[in-house]
Amino acid sequence: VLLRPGADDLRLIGFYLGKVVLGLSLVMVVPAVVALALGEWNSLSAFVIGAALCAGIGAFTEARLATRRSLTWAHGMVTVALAWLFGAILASVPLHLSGHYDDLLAAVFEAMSGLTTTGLSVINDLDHTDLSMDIYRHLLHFAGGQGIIIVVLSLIAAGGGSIGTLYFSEARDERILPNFIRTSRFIFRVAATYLVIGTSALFVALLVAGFTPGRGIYHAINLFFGAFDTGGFSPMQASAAYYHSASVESVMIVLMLAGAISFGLHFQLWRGDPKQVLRHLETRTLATTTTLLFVVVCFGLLRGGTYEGTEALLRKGLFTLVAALSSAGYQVNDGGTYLSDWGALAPAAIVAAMAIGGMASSTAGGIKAMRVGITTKTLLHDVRKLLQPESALVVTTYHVGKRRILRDDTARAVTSVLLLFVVTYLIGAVVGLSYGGYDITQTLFESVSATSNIGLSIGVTDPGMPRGLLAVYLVQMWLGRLEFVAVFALIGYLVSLGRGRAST
Amino acid sequence: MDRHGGRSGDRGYLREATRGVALFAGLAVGVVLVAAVIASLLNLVVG
Repeated sequence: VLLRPGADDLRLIGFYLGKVVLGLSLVMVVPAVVALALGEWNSLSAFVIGAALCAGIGAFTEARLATRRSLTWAHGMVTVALAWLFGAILASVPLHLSGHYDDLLAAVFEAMSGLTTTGLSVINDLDHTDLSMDIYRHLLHFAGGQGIIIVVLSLIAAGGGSIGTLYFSEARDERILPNFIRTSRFIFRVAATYLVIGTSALFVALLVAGFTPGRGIYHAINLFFGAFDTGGFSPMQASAAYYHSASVESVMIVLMLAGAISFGLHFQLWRGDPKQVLRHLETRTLATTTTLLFVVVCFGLLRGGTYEGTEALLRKGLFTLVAALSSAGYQVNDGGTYLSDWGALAPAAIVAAMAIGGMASSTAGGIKAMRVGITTKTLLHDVRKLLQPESALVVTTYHVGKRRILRDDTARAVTSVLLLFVVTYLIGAVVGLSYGGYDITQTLFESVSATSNIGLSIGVTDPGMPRGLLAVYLVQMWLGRLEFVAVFALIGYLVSLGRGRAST
Repeated sequence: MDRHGGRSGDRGYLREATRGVALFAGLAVGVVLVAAVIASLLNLVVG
């Protein structure tokens, strides 16, 4: 029986949504200061309007909806789903006012792409955007990327039993630290440490590539946010290909990998326990899939005569594979080359990598290595059961923080979400085909990229693309980032608003 | 504060961060080296 949410429930959700919107206004203050310092007056006015709107909404909810009730996980899920939706709409205000987008939908798409750390872009004339506006785009990656981890961990901390299984596949006991505040602090410490080290390394690499110090630091900061938060926005239209630099690409590969591994494993490394990392199911799944897919990418590129030599295979093949698996989505070649020069095998491997994605409890998107690992274990478990006598007890274990027994409810939850991802990939691909002008390689590539929050593009996503398809990709990014669960909770909530029984 | 009057929390953080980043860098270099070996071998066999 569905219970209809009361006014108190809606008030609670509105109150916390207001806090998220207030946080968004702070994100706009940073580029506003940059715009003021650089005399970018148009951008400054766009940020002031956007920040004032968000601050106004935030202050209104604080004043009118303040409550002492705490969030239950159901409230939390609905708030999360709405936060990414309203967040994208409000974050699009400065982007729309910048005049670099054809319409409001394109600006909302860009904001959703930033907040979901996807990196697909429909901006016009990126190379001549105000610096403050570009910094804002990259800050959206940081806000959305760190935000999703904190939000999911806080929901689990709130004690949602089944939600932990759906999101982390049994890893809910693997809270990084027992206290949520300490966990959040650790996550920000890791991010801050990599910000300093990563930006410095990129800065040096850019100087080596011939950049002036001023341009070097600007590009280094933006590239860091794009790589470590596995977003993929770039300061230049040509993405990573603009730099033509092996040293820049090398640093970016390391940062993308750092962003794709879970904060739980970062914690083990910081604690000096690399054995835990090497035994972890996700590490082993990612190591296996990366190796196999890299062999396929190299084989495809060599057989097609696309590239020759180890350096080209690493700079093009490995970089693109890491960009796909980590879900950063940086490109070292024009999107059209996947179609015209890469043959069939290598792009297929890249699509598979995009579908798999990185680790749970990281900013990476996709199905996640945890779910792929558990699904593989489930398949092997079923095969073993078939081969054993009926009376035999078959037990399958895996290592996630500690040795765990594979349970039926875990397997079911994992395969359900995996199936939802696959169905969404296919729906996006079919919708793309319905517009004509694209083939299945293009539409599947782009659909997987949007749903898995990757950002690699084969050329379908551009400012002039059909608006219906743009809207579909926007929804796919939202669904993929929230891994369906929060959106289903929102739908359930809306249904119960209309059809639920009033609680007594 | 530690017994010498220093801020032990900061020192602990620096030690942990150095260890964590160094271990991660080792893993990342390992990934690139394995990829280089695979690419070289395939380049010889297929290229």
